Amino acid sequence: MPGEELGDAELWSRAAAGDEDAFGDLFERHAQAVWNHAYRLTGSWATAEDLASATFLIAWRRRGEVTLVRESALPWLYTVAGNLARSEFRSAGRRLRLLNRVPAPADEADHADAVVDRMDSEERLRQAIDAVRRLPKSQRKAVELCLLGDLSIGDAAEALGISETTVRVHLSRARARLRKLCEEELS
Amino acid sequence: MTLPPRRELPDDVRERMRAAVRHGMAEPRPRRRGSAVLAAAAVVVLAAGAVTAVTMTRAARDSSPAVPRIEPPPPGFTLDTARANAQLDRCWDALGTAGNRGSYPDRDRWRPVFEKSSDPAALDGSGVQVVAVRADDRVLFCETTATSATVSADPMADAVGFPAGISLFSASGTIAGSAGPGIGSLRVTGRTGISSGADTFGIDVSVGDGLFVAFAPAKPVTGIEVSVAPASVAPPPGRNIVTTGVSQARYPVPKLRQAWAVVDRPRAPAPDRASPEGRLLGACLASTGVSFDAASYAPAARLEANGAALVMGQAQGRVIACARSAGPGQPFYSMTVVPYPETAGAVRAKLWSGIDGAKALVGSAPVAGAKITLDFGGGVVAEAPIVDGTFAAAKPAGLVEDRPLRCTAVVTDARGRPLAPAFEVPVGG
Repeated sequence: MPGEELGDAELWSRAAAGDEDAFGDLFERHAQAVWNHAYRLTGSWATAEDLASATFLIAWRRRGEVTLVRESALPWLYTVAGNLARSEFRSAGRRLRLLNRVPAPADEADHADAVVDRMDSEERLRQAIDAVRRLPKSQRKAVELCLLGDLSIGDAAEALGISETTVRVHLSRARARLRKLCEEELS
Repeated sequence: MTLPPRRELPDDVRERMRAAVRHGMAEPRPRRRGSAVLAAAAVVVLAAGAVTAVTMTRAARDSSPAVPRIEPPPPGFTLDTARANAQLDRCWDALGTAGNRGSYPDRDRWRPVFEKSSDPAALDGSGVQVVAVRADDRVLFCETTATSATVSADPMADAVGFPAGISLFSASGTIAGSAGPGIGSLRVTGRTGISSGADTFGIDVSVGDGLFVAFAPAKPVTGIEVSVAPASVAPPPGRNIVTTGVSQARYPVPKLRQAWAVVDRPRAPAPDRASPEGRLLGACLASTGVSFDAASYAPAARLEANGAALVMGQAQGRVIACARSAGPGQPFYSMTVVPYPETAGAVRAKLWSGIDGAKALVGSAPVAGAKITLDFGGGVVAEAPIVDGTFAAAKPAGLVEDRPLRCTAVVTDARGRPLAPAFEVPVGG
C-alpha cells in the first residue's frame, strides 16, 4: 500500500516469510534506539555498535521463531540486547576492558568544558552500569528495560512475562538497592 | 540514576551496523532441533518468563532463551556455529550424565570460539573434534569422538608466572589450554611411550583468542612441556623487542586435572566380549583401567608368542594392544596405545615388550588392507595380517634395535595388490 507505513508486527511477519526489505525497514526504524540502549548497557559507544548489530542479526536469525504480540518490536530487541550484554560482556576482565574503552563520538564539540562534562557523564554511567549489574537478576532485567530502556511498565511486564505489579515491585526494590550501592560507593 | 541523553545515530555508524547485519544475514542459519524437543523447550522458556513479549512458536535451545553466538572465529581458525553447537550440546549432556553441571556455567553462556579436528579434512567425521569455549570468566574445551564427549576441568594452577595453562588432557591425546595476552603460538612436547628416543612428539600450535588445542598422537605418559618462544610474545607496551629467553613449564601427568568424560554414544552393536579375543581384551581393559571408554574397543588382530596372548583393540580409529602374560598364577595384563598416524590411512608401528620374553610389532594400518610387510633392511622382514586396521607380528629375528628405528611398510589387499606406495614408518617403542 503506497504511502502507508507498516507496523512492526506486519514488517516482522513479512521478514519471517523471507522479506529482507521488510527486515531492513525494521532495522532503519529501530537502529538508533537499540544503539542508544546498547550504550546504556555497556558504557561504550564502540561496544554499543557491535552489540546493536548483533541484536539485529539475532532478530533476523530468529525471525521465524517468534511472533510479535505487541505492536512494537523494541521490547523484544531490548531484551535480546540485554541478554547479549550479559552473556557476552559479563566477565570482569572484559567488562573492565570495554568500560575502559574511550568513547569517541565524532559529533562532539571538542572544547575543555564539554570534554569534562562528557567524562563526568560517562563515569556516572559506568558506575550506574556496574551497580545495575550487581542487582538480582529479576530486578536487573526490570531496570534495564524500564530505566535504561525507557520502556513502559506494561511493555516491560510483557517482555518479562510477569505482571505490571511485579515489575513495579522489582523497580522499587532495585531503586532502594541502587541507592544503597551508591551510598556504599561514596563512603 | 542520571543517564546520558539519547543521541542521533551518526550516518557512518548506521552504515557500519547495516553492513554488519547484512553480512550476517547472508550466512547460513544455525541448525534446528526436533520438534518434540522444541515444544518442550518452549514450555520451559515460557515458564521461566524470560521472553514473552514474543510468543515462542519454536525455541532454539532446550533450557533458556539463549541467543546464538555470532562472533567470527579468530583469524586462521575455523568455526561452523551450528556444528560447534551440536558438539557443545553433547558435552552439556555429558555433564548432565556425570551430574556435574552445577560447577559449570549454564549452556547458554557457552560461546564457541573456534573448532579443531585431529583430522582437519574430516571435521564432520571421525577422529577427535574439539570446540574451544568461553563462558563468562571460564575457559572450556569440549571434545567429542564417535562415542564420547569430554569436558575440560578447571586449568591447573601450577606453573606460577608462566603465561599458559593446560585445561584439557584427554584420553584421546587432546591437550588444550589458554595462553596469556600477546602469545600467538606455543609448542607442546611430551612422550607417548617410555623408551628413550622414541614416541616423543612436538606440536607447534597457534593461539586464537588466547586459547589453543593440540592433538598428541596418544595420551602422553610422562607429562607435558609447554614452551613459549620469544618470537611469539608481543613486546610489552613501550618496548620494541622481547629479551627473555624461551619460557617453559612442565606439567606432570598426575597433576593434570582429569576431564569429565562420558560415553554418550555407545558403539552398536556392542563389541565382542564372548570370543577368546574378546574376553582377553575386556579383561585387559578392565585390569589396566586406562581408557574410560573401554567398552568401545573391539578385538582385532591377535598374536600368540611364548605362551602369551596379544590382542589388538580398535575403536573408531584408535588402536591399542593388550597382552596377557603366560605362566602360573593370576594372569597379568599390559596395554599400550598405538599413536594416531600422522596422516589418515598411514601406518603406525610400535615395537612393544608387553609379551613376556619377546617383543612384538604392533600397529595400525589402512582398514582396507589385508596384509602388511615391514621391511627393516638387510633381509629382516616381518609380515602380519591386517584385521580391522590393526596388526601384530612377532619381532623378526635379526632385528637390531638401533634408534631411531625405521622400516618400509607395504600394505596389500586380499588379492595381494599393493594398496598404496610403501610407507616409510618410524617404529616407536
